[in-house]
Amino acid sequence: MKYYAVYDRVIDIDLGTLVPMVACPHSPDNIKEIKSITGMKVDQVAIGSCTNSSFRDLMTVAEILKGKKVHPDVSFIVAPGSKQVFEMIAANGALAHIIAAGARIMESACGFCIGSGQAPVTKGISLRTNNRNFEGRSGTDSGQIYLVSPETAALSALKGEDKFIIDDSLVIPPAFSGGDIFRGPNIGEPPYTDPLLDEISGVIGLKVGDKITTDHIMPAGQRLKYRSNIPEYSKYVFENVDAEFSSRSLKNKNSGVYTAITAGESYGQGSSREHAAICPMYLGVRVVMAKSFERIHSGNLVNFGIIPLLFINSSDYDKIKQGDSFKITGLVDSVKNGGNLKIEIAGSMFEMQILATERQRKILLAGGLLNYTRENM
Amino acid sequence: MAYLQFEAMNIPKVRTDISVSYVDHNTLQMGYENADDHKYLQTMNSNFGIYYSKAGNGICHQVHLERFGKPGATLLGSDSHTPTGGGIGMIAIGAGGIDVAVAMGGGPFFLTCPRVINIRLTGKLRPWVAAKDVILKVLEILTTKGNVGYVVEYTGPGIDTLSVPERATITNMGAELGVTTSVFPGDNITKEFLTAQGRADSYREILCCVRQSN
Repeated sequence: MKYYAVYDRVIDIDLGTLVPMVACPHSPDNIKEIKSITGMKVDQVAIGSCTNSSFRDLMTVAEILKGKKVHPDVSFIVAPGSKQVFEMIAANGALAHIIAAGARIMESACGFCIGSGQAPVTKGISLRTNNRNFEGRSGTDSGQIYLVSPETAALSALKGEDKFIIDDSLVIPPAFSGGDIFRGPNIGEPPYTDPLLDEISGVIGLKVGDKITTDHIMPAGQRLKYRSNIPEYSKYVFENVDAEFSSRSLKNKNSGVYTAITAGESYGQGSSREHAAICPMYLGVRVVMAKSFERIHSGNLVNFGIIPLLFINSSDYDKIKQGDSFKITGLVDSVKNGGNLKIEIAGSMFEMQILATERQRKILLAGGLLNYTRENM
Repeated sequence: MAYLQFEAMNIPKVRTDISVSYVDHNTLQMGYENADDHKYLQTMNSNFGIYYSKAGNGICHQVHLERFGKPGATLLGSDSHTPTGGGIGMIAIGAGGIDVAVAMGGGPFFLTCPRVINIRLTGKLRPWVAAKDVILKVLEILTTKGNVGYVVEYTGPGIDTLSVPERATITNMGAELGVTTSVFPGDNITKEFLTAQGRADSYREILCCVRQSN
């Protein structure tokens, strides 16, 4: 029996027509054919991440490197994706080929992909097998990150493996020990969310353009270790976009002046990092207005009590300046009833759409998902 | 943070089939912070019925494919690359930590009913061309914006030439498109992978639909 499906959109791709591709700086959709950038001098090559670190990927790399040496000007990084992959390439000798070629072997972890180590040299060109090449994410502001396949570095005739090494000794099984939970000084409190205010006034604290990622909003890399400590992590919100944003917003909040952010298309691309909502909330951000939002981030904003507003007329974006004052009244009724919201900015009225489902409006009214869940459990 | 939020909900144990906590993002220990966080996670997890994958065991999406993923199951993860699990036939969706905490407590995860893009693959990759080049091609076509609310379903004879890790590379970078998730079927290739992982009993056949216009 056949089942028939109807699709909203259909795309056909003949695998046999594809050629090696590369995503050039600084967006994963800045795609070119590899042959158009050949001859470029490379400073770093990094293989790993959740995109390309499987046994198959690492065997491919090992086969390619067998008997060869890495160029003296290249820093070559390899991070196998898991203990299983690591152990298997060690057991079958493939790891020896990778080491002999001159690789620096890293722990099985996210590592270079989130800027946790292996930041490239100043203005360095880095070819990586991971998934994101947003500006600055590598830990070097001037780094030029190109996303490629492991095969692009070399070619392999690969044989499959019919049995994996299985050893789950690094997985601690579930338990109900009743033991003490360790809390070091870096473990803070769960984030608080203010209840929804009926009237908010403040300032447009920041105006940004299109494709602002969660890495712009809440940098990872060397700052990520503070993610259990909201006041500390909040110091770095928009660090690489506007280093004064955090201190300015917190100072304003302490005198009752809240912050709104104005943005272009596709606000909140990238990581699901909810600190890109939690920390702005802590700093007094209560509204983000954008031409469009990405799914996970707009959900995170609602979960922590920040109202995502969509421009109804996208040309309104051009009329709003950083530093303008804003005022919203009757907010509780607007959120309760759905529909549009009127907001006064620098003396003019603008109409915007509250980007929230019926359930999300209830979450906003409850002051965030934690409060909402406690009330409804 | 998801676990602090889970604790704040005052639920004695997780209510999912399984929940796994992975230490992979914060493993460099240049000060006490990350080591302390690891110990918090391990002691917290062992109180609430949660698997704890220690630092060194690997990147969550890779380990989940190897040791836990099941075709036809749902997976909610507090990382945007959770759709990697689509490579093994899961409906795997990334969400904020608190959404995951609520789901661990037995609460539903809400999403707007997605629209579906069908990417039909034919032919076979030539030498030097990889699964990564397939998803980079898709990113060239669809770009990183304007895809919110879509799911990508991969079908067609070309999928028979792609192994589970290759499929997972493609679904992984579906995150960069901004789609809710990407999914391949659970088929013989999935079954072979799970069997080689000693998990043949996790296999379930999830076949593609045939496109109506065919």
